[in-house]
Amino acid sequence: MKFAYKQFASGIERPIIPIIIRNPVNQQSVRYQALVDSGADQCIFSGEIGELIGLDITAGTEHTVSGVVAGQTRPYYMHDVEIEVGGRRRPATVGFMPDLAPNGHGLLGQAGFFDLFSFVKFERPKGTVELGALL
Amino acid sequence: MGQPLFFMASAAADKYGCLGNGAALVTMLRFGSVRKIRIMLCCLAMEHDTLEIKDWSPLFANHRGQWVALADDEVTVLAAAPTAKAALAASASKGAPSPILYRVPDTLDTFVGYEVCL
Repeated sequence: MKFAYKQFASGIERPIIPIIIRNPVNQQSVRYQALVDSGADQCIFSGEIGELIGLDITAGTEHTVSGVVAGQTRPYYMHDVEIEVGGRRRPATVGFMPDLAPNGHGLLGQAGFFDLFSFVKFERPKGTVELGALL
Repeated sequence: MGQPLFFMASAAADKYGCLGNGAALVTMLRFGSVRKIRIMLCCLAMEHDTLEIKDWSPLFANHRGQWVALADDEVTVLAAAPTAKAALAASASKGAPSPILYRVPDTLDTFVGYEVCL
């Protein structure tokens, strides 16, 4: 299953792919574009996305996240959801961040995304991300 | 299995550069059903659709800082609004209740992720 990179400007291409996030309690779901980020420990999405599927964002377990510049931290809240990619669905515990940075992206990280697939292959020259078999 | 299907499969594999899938097709031609072969050809076509980098430069130029509701082609903007909820509602009002939502960045600063503190 391959997905295309998205080009914002010459030299700025990012592996952003469409997924579906579903609330397993009420089955509400939303389609969302998120960045495949091998350096992210977890999946973190905008709080607005969580609200759209009926989650009480701040009711989740609170953690904090900071940028690469020291000094500022922001809370995010973990919730159990289902992530669907290419028609294949798996449960995952992901974070929702009420004030995701305005120049940031929803992130598909190691826990909750990379651990769902046999491999995640980036081919920057071809501008593709390939996902292996769902585990 | 029919020769025309074999040639279609080979041509598709060559055109789309899917050598692995081409080999799978040959196997299917020997042992599989026509239906499975058709599905495989559809998959090849879908894969080809996703192989080209999607140009989001117009998206960034026209909608920076907004939530956009995208069509299945991931490029066509169905609606745009300051919030995800409003973008979704605007898209639904135009007959597309399940768009792909995306928050267009305000700027194209170098993006290097976040640090998670557990």
